[in-house]
Amino acid sequence: MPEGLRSPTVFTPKTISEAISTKLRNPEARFWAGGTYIMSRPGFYPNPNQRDIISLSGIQDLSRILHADRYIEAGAMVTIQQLLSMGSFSFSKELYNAISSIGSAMVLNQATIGGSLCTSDVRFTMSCVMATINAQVEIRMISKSAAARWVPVSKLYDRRGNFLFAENALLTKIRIPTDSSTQYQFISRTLDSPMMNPSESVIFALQYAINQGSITTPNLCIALPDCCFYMSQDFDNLLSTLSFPITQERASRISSRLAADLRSSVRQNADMLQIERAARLLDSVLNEINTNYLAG
Amino acid sequence: MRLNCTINGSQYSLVVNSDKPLSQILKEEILTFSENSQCNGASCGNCIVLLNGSAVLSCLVPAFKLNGASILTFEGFQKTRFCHDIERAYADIGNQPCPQCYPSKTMIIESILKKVDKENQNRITGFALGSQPGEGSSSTNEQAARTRSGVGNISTDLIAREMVMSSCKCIEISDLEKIINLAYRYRSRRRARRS
Repeated sequence: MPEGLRSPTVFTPKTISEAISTKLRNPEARFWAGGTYIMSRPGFYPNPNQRDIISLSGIQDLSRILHADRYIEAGAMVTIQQLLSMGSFSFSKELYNAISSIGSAMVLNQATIGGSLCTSDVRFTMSCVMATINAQVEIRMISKSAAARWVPVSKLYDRRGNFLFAENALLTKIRIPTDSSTQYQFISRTLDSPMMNPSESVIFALQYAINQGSITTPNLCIALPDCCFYMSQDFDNLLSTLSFPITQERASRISSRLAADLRSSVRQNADMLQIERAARLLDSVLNEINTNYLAG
Repeated sequence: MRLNCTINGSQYSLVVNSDKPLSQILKEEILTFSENSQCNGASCGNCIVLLNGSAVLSCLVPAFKLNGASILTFEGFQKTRFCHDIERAYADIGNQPCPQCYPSKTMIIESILKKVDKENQNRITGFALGSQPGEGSSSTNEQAARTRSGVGNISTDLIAREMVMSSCKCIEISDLEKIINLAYRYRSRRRARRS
């Protein structure tokens, strides 16, 4: 053991309330789910200022999966691979592919749903996909009452992509709707790896339905992993005014509008290349929908 | 913290920092040399080991998660006949990973083979248990026969996805596909002979 390097205390609570009371007693300690993100940060080890750890892996309630008629309810410690093992019967093919594209099997085996939604400063594909399909999470506030409430995934982050409940709540469950796959279509694209290259990566997800040539109830989410989490009711309304087939010029105008919106949303360190990539992604997706519509 | 675990079949009891990554435990405490990762957790993919049978990046597994675990590094894996299947496939195709990423790519190939093997076993069991005489199309029967003989059902997509973790591009995906299919065939044949 290197000199002067403290070994962090690891708490292993067995219940959610025990985890919350441990956090109340040790406010500096941090929750530990899969650990893939925390350990991949530069300077993780050796670090003389390492915080104590509250490992959530011993809490059985967080590792359960409940399959209901209209949704899947999974504990925060369910790994992404376990979620995928529910099979493509539970999710549409596009959604299944989007979730499985998050990383290699090695990462999917280690990364948990809760961990991938709760990273404080970087957004991953999971956040975008879950926000788009209107998934909800149960969070327990870190207080003596440990009050639980359900929050849409889209409300977990601000426009800059910061996790809003980083220190004062514990994410315990996620409820993923499965009935929407019959009503809606889903498109997801990820450019570059959000984990390895967050400053160039772009995550795009869109859920929509086409009714009599018009997009109805669109839900668009775009994340520039380290600087922006973009969901806009105004932009969704703009998309719902589209009647297919559309011209290339119209698609370009819409994507330019997106680029302008993103520029006003992002942190100062945002790369213009990322914004351009996001706009081009929307452009290509609109053309794809157009082609599919024309092909009948 | 005191850590009790099995590494390459030997029992170890170590005193380590609770947040120390497995890659550094192997390097500093056990003195294995196959995990030649220099990235300190940036997922270069050169530190892959099998933890309780599943391939993991050892730089992403902290010590406190290892109590009672069974760890197989490339040094341990090299002594098994499963490694010989892969090495034979390298020789037959006439291509192999560079010395830098040889251990990690071999471990990734092993994890792919294990995964495909498990899926195929499930599929065969499914056919054996689920199919009734006269049921099932000829294509599904053909697929079952292909699965039993271990002939090429390992997709390029799967290989590409797994190999994302290894940043070294010393070997083409198409060659890896051939190697994996060949190694799988050797393994299936040996299993068939034994049964």
